Amino acid sequence: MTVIFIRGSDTQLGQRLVQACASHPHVRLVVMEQNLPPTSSGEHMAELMRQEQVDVVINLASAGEEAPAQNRDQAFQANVLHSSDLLGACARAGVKRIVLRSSTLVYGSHLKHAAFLDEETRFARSARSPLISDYVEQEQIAAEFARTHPDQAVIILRCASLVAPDWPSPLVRYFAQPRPCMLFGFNPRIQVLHPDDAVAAYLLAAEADVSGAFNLAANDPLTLLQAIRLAGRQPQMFLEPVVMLARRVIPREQVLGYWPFAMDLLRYSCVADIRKAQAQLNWQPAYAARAIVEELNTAPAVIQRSRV
Amino acid sequence: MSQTVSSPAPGTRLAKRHAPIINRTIAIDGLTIVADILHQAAQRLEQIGDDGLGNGRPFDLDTLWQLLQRGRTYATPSSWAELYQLLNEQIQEQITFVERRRRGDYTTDPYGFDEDILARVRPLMRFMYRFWWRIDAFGLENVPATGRALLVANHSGVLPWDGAMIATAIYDTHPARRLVRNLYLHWFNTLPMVAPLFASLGQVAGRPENAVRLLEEDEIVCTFPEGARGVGKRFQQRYQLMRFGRGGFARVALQTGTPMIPVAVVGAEEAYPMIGNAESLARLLGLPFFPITPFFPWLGPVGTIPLPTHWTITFGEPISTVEYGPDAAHDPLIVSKLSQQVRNIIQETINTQLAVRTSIF
Repeated sequence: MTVIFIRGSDTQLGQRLVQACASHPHVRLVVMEQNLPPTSSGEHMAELMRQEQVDVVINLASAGEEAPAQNRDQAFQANVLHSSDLLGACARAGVKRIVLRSSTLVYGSHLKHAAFLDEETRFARSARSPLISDYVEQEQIAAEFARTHPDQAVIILRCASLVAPDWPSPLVRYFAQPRPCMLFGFNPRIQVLHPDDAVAAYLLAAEADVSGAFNLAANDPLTLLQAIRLAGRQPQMFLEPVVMLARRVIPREQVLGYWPFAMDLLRYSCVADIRKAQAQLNWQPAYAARAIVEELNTAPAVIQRSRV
Repeated sequence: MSQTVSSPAPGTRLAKRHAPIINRTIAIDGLTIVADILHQAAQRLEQIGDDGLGNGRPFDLDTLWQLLQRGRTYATPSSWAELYQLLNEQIQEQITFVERRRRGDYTTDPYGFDEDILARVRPLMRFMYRFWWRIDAFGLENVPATGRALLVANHSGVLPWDGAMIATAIYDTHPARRLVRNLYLHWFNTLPMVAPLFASLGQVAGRPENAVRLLEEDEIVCTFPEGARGVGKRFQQRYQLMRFGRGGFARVALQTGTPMIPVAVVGAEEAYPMIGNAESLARLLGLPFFPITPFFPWLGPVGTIPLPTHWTITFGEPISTVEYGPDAAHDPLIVSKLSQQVRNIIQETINTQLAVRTSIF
């Protein structure tokens, strides 16, 4: 019997993971919701973990992924500070295995990046969206924790953007626009991941005897242009110098429309190599990138109005 | 006609100042060169019909040739109807092509290679290969029909046409018709239009990780270890190999147990005779170098048309690396030895080809 503690069980990914765990007879779940009451501190979590004799902790709480963040402070609180608290609680309770969520976009965009980035790639010092910089900070904390707590396995699952119809992720919102933006003359390759494949990876990571970071993405990256077209849209092209000039005066979203990541990711690819997860986690993505994006084509266009 | 232009009748002021004999020689030389090019082009034009490679791409040379062939019988009404139908089909084909592209109904490989785009660019590449530079490829049997291989070539000619022509040689005239993955300077990724074009033609940024991955997938990879130093060298330095990077290509070959095939390209150096390099202008524009040729930048875009020199591409015998084992990639002595060996073979092949060459055109 494995006892799995899921923090963020009320998130979209958390709900799917809870459902998937329910069919496992030898798994017992302890769940905690994303928005903790102010009274519940790290000590409270440690106490709970010790009482329930938790073996594995999975942290899915992140503000800005499936649920948009209320404000920057709250997002930082949820993504970085609470993760740090959670790691502290795991140390207190002596949890053997900790699985964290991150993004393949932590590598950032860099001219000299390889076509496929493995887990050892240094994070580029490029501009990052708030969510990605939270992930980077969380990874730094986790790496420090792993160094000082060698007998506790820390696993970081770097997921490509989750995409499925009815899935409220930033990239899906981008594809739902009538004319998603692109920079003229650039066509970066992008990666997506089906939530079911992500859930499968979390289950494997909870049981496999591994540690460290793993990239997760669907097979075969797509070019952004093709992805937009497969989603049933046509892109709106912007000249980069014009955008750079205009965004000094007007917010970027009013210039470009909605693009959830840093501007550089409209120029250069950030594509992760998934061979480590395939070899060590024995994980295989069931959904190909093309099939995932094509499913969006059936969903109707939503006209997004930008809020300032 | 040309005689009257270049050597005016005796008695004019020009003829008094310059020895007319010089003018006449230049004119005759020029005419011979033009006639030679036309003659060679005509020979190629005859070959193209029956070499079995022109499989009816829309608006390519073969279609044009067929149209020209039919030109003799255009006088009859039925052939006009036929021509109309032919054009109509071509236009329809273009429309369905564009519609299909707009639906996203095409496939790209994980590196972004897009066969549709290659098919569109191939006619131009074949034109440059067969008619413009009339390229002779030697030693194609040294390029394997299956399995990995690392082509190592000299780089020359300001614009990287040599990579395109090596790829065309193997795609168009090698029996296995394999796609060559050229490793290009990652700086090209900063250029709008160029970056996606290179990717869709199957080219990959020159990082060792990319080369290793492609070779592990048993592809043919082509690398130019001289890099920008090779293309950006002056005309006086032509056919003198520059430094071969840091021997990274040999390390990649050792790591993956790939045979290295030295490739010598002769003729590309004269396609753009670079007489100068405006370094301050290059720095201002963020370019690796700013070429000054007899035609560029003076003639603007026209100056970017390369001279129709005659090229040869020689593929050398493969140099096996598998017996050293993958650990040898970390041995600097073996890496530099192999790097030097390949460099020497390329330089020797270039020298041999230069010795047998009678004219640059």
